[in-house]
Amino acid sequence: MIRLEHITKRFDGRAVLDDLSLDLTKGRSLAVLGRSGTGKSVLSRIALGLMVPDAGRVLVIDQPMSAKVRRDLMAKTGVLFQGAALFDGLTVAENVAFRLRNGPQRVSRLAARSQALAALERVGLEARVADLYPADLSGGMQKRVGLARAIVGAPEFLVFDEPNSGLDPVTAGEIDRLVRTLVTDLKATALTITHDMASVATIADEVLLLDRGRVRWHGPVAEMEGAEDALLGQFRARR
Amino acid sequence: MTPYLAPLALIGRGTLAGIARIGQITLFTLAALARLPGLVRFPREVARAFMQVGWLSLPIVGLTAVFTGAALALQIHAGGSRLSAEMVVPQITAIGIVRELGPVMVGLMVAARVTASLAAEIATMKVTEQIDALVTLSTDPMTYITAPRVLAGLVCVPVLVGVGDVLGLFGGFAVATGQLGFGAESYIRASWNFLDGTDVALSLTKGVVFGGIATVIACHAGFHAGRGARGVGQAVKSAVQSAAILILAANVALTAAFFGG
Ligand SMILES: Nc1ncnc2c1ncn2[C@@H]1O[C@H](COP(=O)(O)OP(=O)(O)OP(=O)(O)O)[C@@H](O)[C@H]1O
Ligand SMILES: [Mg+2]
Repeated sequence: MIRLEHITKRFDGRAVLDDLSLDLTKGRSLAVLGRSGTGKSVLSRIALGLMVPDAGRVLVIDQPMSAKVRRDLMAKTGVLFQGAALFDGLTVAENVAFRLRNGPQRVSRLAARSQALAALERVGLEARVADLYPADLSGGMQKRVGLARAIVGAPEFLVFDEPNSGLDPVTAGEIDRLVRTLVTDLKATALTITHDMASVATIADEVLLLDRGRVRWHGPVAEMEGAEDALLGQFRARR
Repeated sequence: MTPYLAPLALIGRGTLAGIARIGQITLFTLAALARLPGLVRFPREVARAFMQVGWLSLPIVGLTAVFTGAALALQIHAGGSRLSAEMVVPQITAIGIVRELGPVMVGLMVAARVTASLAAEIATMKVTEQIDALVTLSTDPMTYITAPRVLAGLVCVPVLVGVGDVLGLFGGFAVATGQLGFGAESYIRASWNFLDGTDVALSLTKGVVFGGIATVIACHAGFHAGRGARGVGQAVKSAVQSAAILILAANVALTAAFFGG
């Protein structure tokens, strides 16, 4: 569905992504692992067309990324940013319903609110928080609101940047299963960035290990156990 | 390069960067104006921008204008009395306020208050990825963020200038009648008869232009903020500086256009 070809991205002369190629297959869930600062978030931003690579190209269903291709892609994409990126002037419910109210569909206020409440429930948040502002929530709750905002409207392409960070193990497990269910139910293509090896097995079909701007290991989850890669071994050992 | 040429190169580079920036801001302005029709979809954002730019600026604009008008009348009286021309206080105060000080003081206050707060708000949205989030939610940030604020600048600032003019004239009137011994009725008549439509047109035109500058510069700086809290601070600083300088430069240009020839 999305293909990255020979992507290089530099900041201040330092290559964060270095000739990286990757195929996101339709209906598959990919987990991206990697040490902090290896360019996982940059990779997701490039895949979404939010950042332009210095070399290489991004193809969305065989079309090179452009303003129009990005617009069409966004219409069916849900994104959870690493810092949640909630709109702080809007309530939780308004944040979650944002796409429904302001996007091309223009769903009625009532319908949008009930869909927002349903999405909040799916991520384990009570209706009580709906009328609070993001600043009134804990970090983990903000993350879940971001997740709810990403999944509203049944997107076909999902990008989650560390959906689990800042969550207790119980909620983290619930979120993992939710991601899995969404991918299965919506037949969605998913790109999940995570540090949490425990969630990889639940969430993903495939694993990609990023190291110093390159793909260090890429394969099905089932093959991850037997892989003889030192860094992957270290990740596994932390489970 | 020989060392003698280094300062020249620096000036050249600065000039080129300046020209590039002017080009960028011009394109940004055109993009914002092209989005204005799209605002029918975001009435709430428009209302919020009008509050932020217009309504909430009224107190500071009013106070500034009253004090400036009062000081101006005192100065003209003091200067005029040396030439035995004290009686021109109402006329010169009126021209000074309506043509120059009203719009300039309001413009600078708006640059300080509105440009700073808009730039800080938008830069924060940029560094916390809220602007990217808008894109992923199928909402054009130029329509949702920039257009309401620029519209508010174009509409509210001339109104603020109008209010500033009236209150500035009132400040002059208050000291002239209270302290300098002018009669209330004759002072008002003298000011009123002296001002003409061109003065008012210039004043309000300046308001429109300054409002556009203050908001466009703020949005542009916010959208191009660097990373982290430092990026926000830099964006605010550069926005307020550029807005103030551009407002003063535009003021000269507009005065010259109306009265230069
Ligand atoms: N806009 C930018 N300007 C300059 N440098 C950047 C920018 N975005 C990312 N970087 C740099 O690129 C590198 C990779 O950043 P990225 O956010 O992708 O890391 P990450 O793998 O997501 O790390 P983490 O797991 O900590 O989130 C970092 O060194 C970062 O400093
Ligand atoms: Mg990251």
